[in-house]
Amino acid sequence: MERQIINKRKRVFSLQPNKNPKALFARRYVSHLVPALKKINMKKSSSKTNHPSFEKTVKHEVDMAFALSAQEFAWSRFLLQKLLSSVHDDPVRTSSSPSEILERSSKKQGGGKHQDRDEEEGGEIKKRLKELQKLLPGGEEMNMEEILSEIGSYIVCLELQMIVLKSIVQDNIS
Amino acid sequence: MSSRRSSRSRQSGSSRISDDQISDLVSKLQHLIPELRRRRSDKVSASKVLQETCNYIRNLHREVDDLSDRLSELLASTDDNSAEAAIIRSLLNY
Repeated sequence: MERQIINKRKRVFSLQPNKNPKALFARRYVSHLVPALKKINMKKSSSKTNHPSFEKTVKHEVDMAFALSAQEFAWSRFLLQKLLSSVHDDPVRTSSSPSEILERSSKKQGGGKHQDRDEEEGGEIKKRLKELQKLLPGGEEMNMEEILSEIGSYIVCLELQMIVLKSIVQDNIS
Repeated sequence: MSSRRSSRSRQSGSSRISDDQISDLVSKLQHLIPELRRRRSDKVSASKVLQETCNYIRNLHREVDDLSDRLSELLASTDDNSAEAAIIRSLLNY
């Protein structure tokens, strides 16, 4: 039963030959994560598993596997740097420093004039772009072109990570 | 005198973001975000696409955190042999 499910996933990858980068990422991700998890598992004692730091350790390995598996992308390199430097802190996902790149206040008036509407839309877009920049690792240091090229891979890799993690967790719950 | 819209300069400096770049980004995102693929493209505004993207990424982050916690539970609750065997099985299947 399990093998069928996993083979089905394999077929998904191979049906799209030009999406090989996806398979590559998934393979790399698993090859980073699984040994790390094995190591954690071997080291664990009963006292450790009750500690909240156990969850953090696992999360850290999850993040590390993610950052290591897509080094061809700037966001991955940035994330890796962040993870390596914050080993003893809480895992950092979003940056807290405000970006100066898209400074523009948005007006939320329901004005009827075209001018107000355009500005309102432009302001709204700028606001959303800023949010997006914060969500993408390293986004605040990137210009628009870089964001454009990086955002696609980031989203796809996040989705792939989801698939891998789900398969590890779900296949092992008997 | 340019209109209130942002200028169309192609500088890679981050302060000038052209409309072309925004529309490129928006169309790219529309194909990536499942929520938006289901709707017809001409009905969704740029800010809506960006908003949905942010929500989607945040959801993915949340799901990863959740799965990571479940993974911790899994590792914590099983004994050494079965956990290792299960993890090795996952590795072999890829």
